Amino acid sequence: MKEDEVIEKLRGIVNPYLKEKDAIGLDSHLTYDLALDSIDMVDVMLEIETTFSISIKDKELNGFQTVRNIVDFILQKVNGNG
Amino acid sequence: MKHRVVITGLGVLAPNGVGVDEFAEAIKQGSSGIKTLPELNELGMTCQIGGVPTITEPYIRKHIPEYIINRIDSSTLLFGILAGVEACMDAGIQVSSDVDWSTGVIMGAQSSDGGLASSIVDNLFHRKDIRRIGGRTAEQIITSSVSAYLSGLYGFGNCCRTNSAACATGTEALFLAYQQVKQGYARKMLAGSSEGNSPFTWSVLDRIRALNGGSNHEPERGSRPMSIDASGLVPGCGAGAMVLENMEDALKRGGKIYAEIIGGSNNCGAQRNGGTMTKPNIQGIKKCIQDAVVDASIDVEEVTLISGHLTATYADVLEVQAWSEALGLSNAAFPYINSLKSMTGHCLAAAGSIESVASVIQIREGFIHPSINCENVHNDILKFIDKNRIPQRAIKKEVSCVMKANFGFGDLNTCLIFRKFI
Repeated sequence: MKEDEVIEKLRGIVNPYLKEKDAIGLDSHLTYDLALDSIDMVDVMLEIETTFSISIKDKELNGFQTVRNIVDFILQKVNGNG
Repeated sequence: MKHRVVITGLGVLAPNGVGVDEFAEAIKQGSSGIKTLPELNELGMTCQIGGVPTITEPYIRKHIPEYIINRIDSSTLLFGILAGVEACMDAGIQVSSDVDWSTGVIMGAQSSDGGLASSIVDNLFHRKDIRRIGGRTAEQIITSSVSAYLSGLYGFGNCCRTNSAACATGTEALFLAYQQVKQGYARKMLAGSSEGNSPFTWSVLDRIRALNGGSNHEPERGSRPMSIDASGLVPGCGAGAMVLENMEDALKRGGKIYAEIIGGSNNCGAQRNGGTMTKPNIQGIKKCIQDAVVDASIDVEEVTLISGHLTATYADVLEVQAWSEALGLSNAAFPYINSLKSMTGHCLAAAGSIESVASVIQIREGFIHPSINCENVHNDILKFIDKNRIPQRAIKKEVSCVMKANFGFGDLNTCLIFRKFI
């Protein structure tokens, strides 16, 4: 799977949680830029797991600071490099 | 310093009308919102009728930002937020980027959306799959979410509370908010209550035989408060909300003022003198009514209308007797009395706030709504009041003072007194 495809799908997952639509960028900070709280993050991760058919451990969740962190994580999982 | 408390915004979602304008027209016309609910039949409930507000997608989008809509699964939460936002919009309250420390919110609820909660428990918790329980579940099942969402949306930084007093919840929320403004702890309060569309809750009432199971063939005739053939309550849901404001602020900004709250009372019969968890201690009810009159410093002859609790059980007789004895008024001297539940069913935690909105509408527009399905008044009620005290059709009349009371499981009582603002 290519990065652009992951970003596009991730945008679709995160957008409903944002006060400003399409505010998401690769370097957006999940808390400071997108204002996602811990409740949002649990639901976003559940949707990512379903959408990309991957599993995310709770401790892996703690490592996500930016959108780029999530994209890289998904690419590793999906493309088998992780 | 004590402040006079005025009402500057209204919001309502009732089974017979969504939004204040539609609701006002419905109660004027005596329109019932009770319908056949096939889901109750499928559940095996004796009562298969009820009142549920008809809400459209455009109505929701007009009142709630999309990022919040996406987070709402609970109907308790949805109804409460919609009513609260309508009241704020009506009062001209803007979303603030800063915290408004002078404005608070008290939106009551007696439970969260029971159907939603039970589906989460059944599908995930009992299957030991709690990892799939979403983060938003917390917001759906805690009863304080309505108040929390509304304070977060508008930036209300004064008290943010959720009261719970069974069927007296809505009136109690307004009473608590009234006290908050009257005592000067807040300059403005958003207050009301919400009851979700929850057949789970209704099934409990069905099992204790509180619901009317004999009118499934004629839903609009099902709720018959004060009638000789009153056969139990009909379940309903929805939400009501008001913006209460200190009079000085409201006059200074030149906003419209619908009515004034001039007094109230809140007590508990303590399950003594015949009172139980489900039956009232009549002494408690009478004291609540009398204390409200004292708090408002009015002569009882000033009362134009009583908006009763009146659920369509034999307790209606006891209630009318209590009003008559507490006020010392009977027969032709008794005020008009009506029951909104004849048109909406019993909206449980939301009953008090929806009925209070109806009370204020009647003051604002100068009419008394009919108490429908009461062509044949119960004989025991006629021992205390004349038949014409219960309007069969809307009466065009200046309504200067309304007493509104609700009573709830646990022997809980609240009474409010609304007066035309002069």
